[in-house]
Amino acid sequence: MSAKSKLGIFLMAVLCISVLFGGVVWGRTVVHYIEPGTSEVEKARVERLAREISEVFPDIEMQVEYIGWPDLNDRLITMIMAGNVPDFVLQQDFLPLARMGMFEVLDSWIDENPMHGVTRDIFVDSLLEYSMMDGNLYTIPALGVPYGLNVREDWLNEAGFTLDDLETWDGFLEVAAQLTKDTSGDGRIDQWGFVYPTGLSRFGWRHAEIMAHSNNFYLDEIGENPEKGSELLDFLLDLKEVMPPGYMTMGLQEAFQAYSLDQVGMMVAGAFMPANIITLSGGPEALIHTRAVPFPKGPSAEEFRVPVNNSGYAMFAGSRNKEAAWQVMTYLSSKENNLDYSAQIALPTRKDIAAGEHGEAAAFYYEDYGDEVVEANARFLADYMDIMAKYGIPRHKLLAGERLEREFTGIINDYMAERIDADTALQMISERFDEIMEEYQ
Amino acid sequence: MRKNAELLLHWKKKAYRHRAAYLFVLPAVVYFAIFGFYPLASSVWLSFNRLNILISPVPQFIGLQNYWYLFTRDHHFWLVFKNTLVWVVGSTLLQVVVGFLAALLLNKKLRGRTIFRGIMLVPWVTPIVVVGIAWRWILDPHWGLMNYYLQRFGIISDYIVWLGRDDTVWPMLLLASTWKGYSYMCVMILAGLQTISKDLYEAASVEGASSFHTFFKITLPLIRPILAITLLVGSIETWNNFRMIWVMTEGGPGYSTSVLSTYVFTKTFREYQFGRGAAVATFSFLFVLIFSLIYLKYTKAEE
Repeated sequence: MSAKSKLGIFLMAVLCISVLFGGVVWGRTVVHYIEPGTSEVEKARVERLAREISEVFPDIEMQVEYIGWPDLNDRLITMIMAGNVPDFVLQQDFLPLARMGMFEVLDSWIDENPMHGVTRDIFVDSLLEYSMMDGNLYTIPALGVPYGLNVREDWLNEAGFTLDDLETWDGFLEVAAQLTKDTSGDGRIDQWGFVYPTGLSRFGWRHAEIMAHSNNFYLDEIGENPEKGSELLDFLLDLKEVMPPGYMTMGLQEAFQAYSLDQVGMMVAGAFMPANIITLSGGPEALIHTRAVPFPKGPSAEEFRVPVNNSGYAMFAGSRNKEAAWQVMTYLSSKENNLDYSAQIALPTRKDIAAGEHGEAAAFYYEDYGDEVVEANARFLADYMDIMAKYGIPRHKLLAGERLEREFTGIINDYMAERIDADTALQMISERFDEIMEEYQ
Repeated sequence: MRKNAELLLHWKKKAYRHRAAYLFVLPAVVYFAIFGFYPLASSVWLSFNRLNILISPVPQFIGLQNYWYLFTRDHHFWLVFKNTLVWVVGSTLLQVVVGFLAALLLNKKLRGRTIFRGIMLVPWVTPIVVVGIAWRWILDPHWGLMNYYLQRFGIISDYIVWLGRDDTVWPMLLLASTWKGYSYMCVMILAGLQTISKDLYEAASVEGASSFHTFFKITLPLIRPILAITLLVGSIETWNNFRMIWVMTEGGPGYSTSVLSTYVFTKTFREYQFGRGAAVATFSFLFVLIFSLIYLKYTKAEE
């Protein structure tokens, strides 16, 4: 046999072994994890965890690949279609991939193999509910994300109000009007009460969805609730008076900038706000004075309703290392890891983590900004833990979410620019939503 | 039968004689077949199928229904098409006009001409995403430089939401696109200007021709072929220029600043409507193809 033939056979053998034992490196199972957090702080935490996992599970190696949130689903679909199936991922909008059959149903895993103390009953109810589709569990909740109203309490107090005045939409508008003013005395308004950023469909929809929740209906069901929808549209138009004129070009990032630069006194966001504003100019100072409350009640609401969703670990149906992936997923969901992760950016998903404990853990990430910021952050997170526990309701997961978001934001911008009236806007939204939903039934 | 065999033999001989040439061309042909023709054909085929992977991962042949939907039922398609025409015509013409003026200037014997030529290339070599973000900041209604300076010089009294108003959003997108693209036009036109013999200008000067006449009777006719190709390349480039609009507005709010390239992306990769996305892409491709053929025939640039 010639040297060329021998080399060919050797290479073929290597290829076959790689295919047969893909994911196994010298006796260790390689678990391929997709992490959507791409900031340096998030990367540092994940890399530390990967090292830790190698020590805790000598037969497992966690290989991390970073794909940012905006491209996550597109990239995952491409990877899976190309046959490069990862083992698990942190997911927020798991519905499309679950519907495509790309995610493993986790019911039997959690019920029959509850590792590291991960059982259904340890998770906050509303967050666990968000992880389900058609009665099946698809993700293990890792981060709790409730949405509420973040408020500059110092501005409220200066204007003679307290947080309790933010009970209803009317009260909210009164407060927002008082916060909208010319602070420099040059005749131009430079401080506004509120911002509803409609420049990007995602936030144009999400913030209106939160306001719809506060008026006791789901935004995607606006056609079935025309009266409540009409109230929402009137409210949105009233908001124009208390918002910076460029609201229709802003995304969430610009809204955070405006908030941290003392241009806006209230905005809709979640417990993730500190992580987003702390590095911005004026961010730490703004955080010191920020409190979180449920979005005030609309005229049709009897009580507060706080929409919640989560980010959770989802296992791929095509994973070749499911046992190992499950071990790692549950390890990452242990009390210690859930506390550590949520302290960085959001709220814990486990019931056995108390607000004080969470605030203390969060101090690690904010200690460079001083004690005042650490205290304020702990108080802010405690606000959110409280409102999530009392009023948390899972957000609707929508298969046609992206289409509804774009349609809605386009119509709302026309409406707020007064190119169409409320009746026309409501009719257009209802008709377009019906058309889209029909396609997905 | 015999004639066919002879013909085959003739082609075989010819292929053998030119085997080196065919081998040299082969990699390019294979590359084009795999990465050019196959995706294109696949996309056209997909446009005749219903494929929304959120509903079913299996394509279902539906003939021209996707096109029918786009032309008659889609609430945004014609707005997006109109936006695309405004975007392509406006952007290309402005780039050519500004590029032409810059090329005329840089063709003159100026002091520091080489430095200016280098500086002029800065927008061209700057990544388009960076340009888009920078322009978004410049046009920010609250702290952008545009409002700041216009107000400082007394041109406006109130800050303007440049990217949020119907009457300003397209001029601003075109401004950003022109800034990014004019240097390519300038380089092409400058190259054309430098091929014109100086003797012609000297002769015109001796004859007493004015600058106006020199420009319209000598410069413009002689660089017409280059101008024609530059316009075509520029307009196709702008037609497919997805990134600038995506970075500045994401085609929104809603679909108000979408063009066909962003619409294809939104339909396919955001809404997972692969069939309809492919129909938009195929329509866009055919439109550009037909336009290019008519344009080339009209300008006789292929000669």
